[in-house]
Amino acid sequence: MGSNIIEIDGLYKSFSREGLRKEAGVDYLISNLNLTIPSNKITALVGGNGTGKTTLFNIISGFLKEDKGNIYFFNSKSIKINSIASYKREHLGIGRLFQDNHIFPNLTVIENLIITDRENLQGTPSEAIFFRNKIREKEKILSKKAIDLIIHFLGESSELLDKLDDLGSSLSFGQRRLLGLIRLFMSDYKLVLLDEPTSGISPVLYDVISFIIKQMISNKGMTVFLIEHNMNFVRKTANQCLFIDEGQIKVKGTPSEVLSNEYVQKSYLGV
Amino acid sequence: MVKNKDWYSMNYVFHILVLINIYLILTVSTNLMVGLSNLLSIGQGAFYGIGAYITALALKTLGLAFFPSILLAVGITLLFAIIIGYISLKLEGDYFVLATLGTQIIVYTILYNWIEVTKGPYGIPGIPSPRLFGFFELKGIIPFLIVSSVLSFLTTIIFHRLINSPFGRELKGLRDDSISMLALGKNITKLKIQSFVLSSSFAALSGFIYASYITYIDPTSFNLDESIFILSAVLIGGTGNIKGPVLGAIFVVVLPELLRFTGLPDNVAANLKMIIYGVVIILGMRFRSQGLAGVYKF
Repeated sequence: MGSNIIEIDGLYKSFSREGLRKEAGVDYLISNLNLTIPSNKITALVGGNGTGKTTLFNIISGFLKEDKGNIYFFNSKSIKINSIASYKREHLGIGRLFQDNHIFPNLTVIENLIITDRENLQGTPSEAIFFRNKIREKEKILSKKAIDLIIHFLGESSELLDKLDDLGSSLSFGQRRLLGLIRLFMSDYKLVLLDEPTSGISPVLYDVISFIIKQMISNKGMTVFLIEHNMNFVRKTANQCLFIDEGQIKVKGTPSEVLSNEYVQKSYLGV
Repeated sequence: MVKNKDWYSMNYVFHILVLINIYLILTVSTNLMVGLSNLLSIGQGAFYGIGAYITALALKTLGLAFFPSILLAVGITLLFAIIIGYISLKLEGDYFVLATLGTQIIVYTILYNWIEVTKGPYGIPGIPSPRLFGFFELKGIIPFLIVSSVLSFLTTIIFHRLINSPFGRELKGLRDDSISMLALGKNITKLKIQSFVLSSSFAALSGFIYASYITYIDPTSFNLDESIFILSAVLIGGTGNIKGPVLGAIFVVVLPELLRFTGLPDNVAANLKMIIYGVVIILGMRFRSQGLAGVYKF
């Protein structure tokens, strides 16, 4: 139990107006789903479109409310997170990368990184009015941390370093994805949920993204749970793979085991 | 004779400057809510009105001095804003706009009908000048120009600091992408309430200056038209920074005064003023939706 970061049992989610109806019926996108995510590992969730992968992430993050089922998060102790507000789940140590990046277009690159901070800067009106110099000092330290992270992952020749004071809207899709990934290192997350980290990205960046994700484990001791359609990337990056179909985890194992499974090949890979 | 004429001219300019100060506080504070937090309120006139009426009661009925009157006006408006904010900010987008419209209508109706306290449509005349430090009576245009300038300057400094701070950054983030803000662990309801309450409380400060300077208030000064007028000033000037709302305040106060010099009859000039505002807003939205000097496009 302690070696898992998250455990889900009996999870149901329906988008029908009637809500919860008959169990195991076709009305549920997610139907009696059970899963465990091991700590300090990279777990990939694969499956066809519309099988509930992003819905599952949204339920774990608290953006969607499940119809039924329990979600336990293991930090220093076991916490049932079902009724915890989405922003408070982040405080527990659950980070999120969205498929469409969600970089703030009207904040600069550096602001997009330091906005994550909650420990050093309170973000209150009184702090803004009365402690301007203290804010500046702390922002300098946070900016240095952000720049060091960019250099660590992308090198000193990274274009992001030239765009630190440019607005998020000026970045390319690939740059936004890299920025979103690096932003996860600004906080001390225990679990990060990455929704298709390579989608829409030039293949030349796959290795960089894979490197960044592996560093989440080795450098920061995070656990990574990712959704991915790029099977080569899954093979190369993940330690464990889960196949979701008909609202349940149907196959579980190493990426090679899952991707060579006959059911997965027939129903998902079209082999 | 010439000396008198010059003095009247100067008085006129000073009067315009006091009005600019009143609207500058309104636009700079409204910008935090509308511009940075994307909370489109058409109820700012209500909070301006509450501030003015509390001031009138504080000065006339309770006989309070300058600072206690400000504290009472801003404090009661702040409490009212917390209640309204807590209820209305559970709503989003168009529903929030309608909630602020509801607030505006309720406040106006109370001001108009609670005759025992507000004197209803007759208004409250003869509001006494506030006393500063117990002995200095703020009477005449120059003391009011100085006091209103100091208050509008302090307001501008405070809101400049708010915009360019981690708090302002979080409001900008809220405007850009509330889902991301939640994912980053930000309590967006709290942020919205803080923004709403700050904007509303400072509108009460404008109400304080208006009531004590004009010495007469009635509900028509704080109706829906006034709320839309304040919002228009913010949008014309532009949102997201300090320059925009400052220019917006100057524009809406100075424009009707300029029309006085066109030689048009007053009734024509008044209507023409509204037509010009309308045309400026339409052209602005079409060709310069970020306003005269704002950051965000609408």
